[in-house]
Amino acid sequence: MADDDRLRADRLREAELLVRAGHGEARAAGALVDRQGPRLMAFALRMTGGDRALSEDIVQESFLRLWRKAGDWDVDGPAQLSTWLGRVAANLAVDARRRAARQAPLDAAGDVADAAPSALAGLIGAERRTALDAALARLPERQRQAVVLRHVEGYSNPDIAAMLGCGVEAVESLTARGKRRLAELLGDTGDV
Amino acid sequence: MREDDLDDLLRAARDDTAPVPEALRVRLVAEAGHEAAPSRSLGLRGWLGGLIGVPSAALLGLWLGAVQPAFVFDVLPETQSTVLLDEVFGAAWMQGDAG
Repeated sequence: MADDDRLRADRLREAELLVRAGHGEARAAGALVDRQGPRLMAFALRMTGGDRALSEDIVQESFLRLWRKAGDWDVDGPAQLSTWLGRVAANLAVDARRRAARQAPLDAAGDVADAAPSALAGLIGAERRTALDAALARLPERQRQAVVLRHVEGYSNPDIAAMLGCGVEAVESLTARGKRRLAELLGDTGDV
Repeated sequence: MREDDLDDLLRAARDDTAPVPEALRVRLVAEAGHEAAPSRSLGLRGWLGGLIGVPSAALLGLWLGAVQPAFVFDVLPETQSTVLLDEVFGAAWMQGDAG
C-alpha cells in the first residue's frame, strides 16, 4: 500500500514537472531530465550496442516528443512517464537500425554479430555488469534488441513483435538464440 | 552460465543508468523551452472575449455598412459613388450569359 502511495506521488510529481516544463520552465525540464535521462541513456546504449552518438539522438528525440506531449499528458493514464519514454526510445532505436540496414543491405543480409568490442562497457556505471553489456553488444542487432526488450525491459512478446515488425514466433526465436549466445559469450569470459 | 543466473543478471540490468552528457542535457532543457506549447484551454478571459467580441464586431460591421456608407467608400478603392452590378460585371456579359 505504501508502495502504491509512493508510486502515485512519483507520478504526480513527474506530471507536475512535465506541465511546468511544458510551460517553458527550465528548472522543471532539467529536473525531469535528471530523473529520467540516465535510465533512458543506459537503455539506448544497450539497444544500440554502445553507439553513443545514436543513443544521444534517441534520448534527445524521446524528450522532444515528451515536451510536445506535455500539454496532453494524462497523469491517471495507463502509462507511467518512464514507461512512455522507454517505449518511444525503443521504437526509435529499432527504426534507426532498420533505416541503417536499408542503407547498407549487404551488412544486414547475414545475421552477423558486431565485430568490434563495444565502448558500452566503459559507459554504464554498474561495474559487475560490464561483461553482460560487452556480450550484449556482440550479439546480432535484432537478437540484442529482442533480448533487451524481453529480458531487461520486460516487454511482452506481442509488444516486441509490433516494435520489431515481425511475428511473435520470430521474437521467441530471436530471444532464445540471443540468450543462448549470451550465455556462451559470458561463459567464455569467465567473468560471471 | 546457468539460465537462471542469466535471467537474474538481465533483470538486474534494468535499473542501470548512464550519465547524460552535459551538452545533451543543455540541449534537452533548451528544447523544452522552445517546445513550450501554448495553452489549448481558452480560459474564462478567452470565452468572455469571444462572447463579447464576436457580436460587437458584427454590429460594428453592420453599422459601418448601413449608417456610414461614405466611410466605406472612402476606405475602399474606386468606390466613390454607388456602384451598380451592371457596372461591375458589364451589361454585355450579363446579356450574353443570359442568352
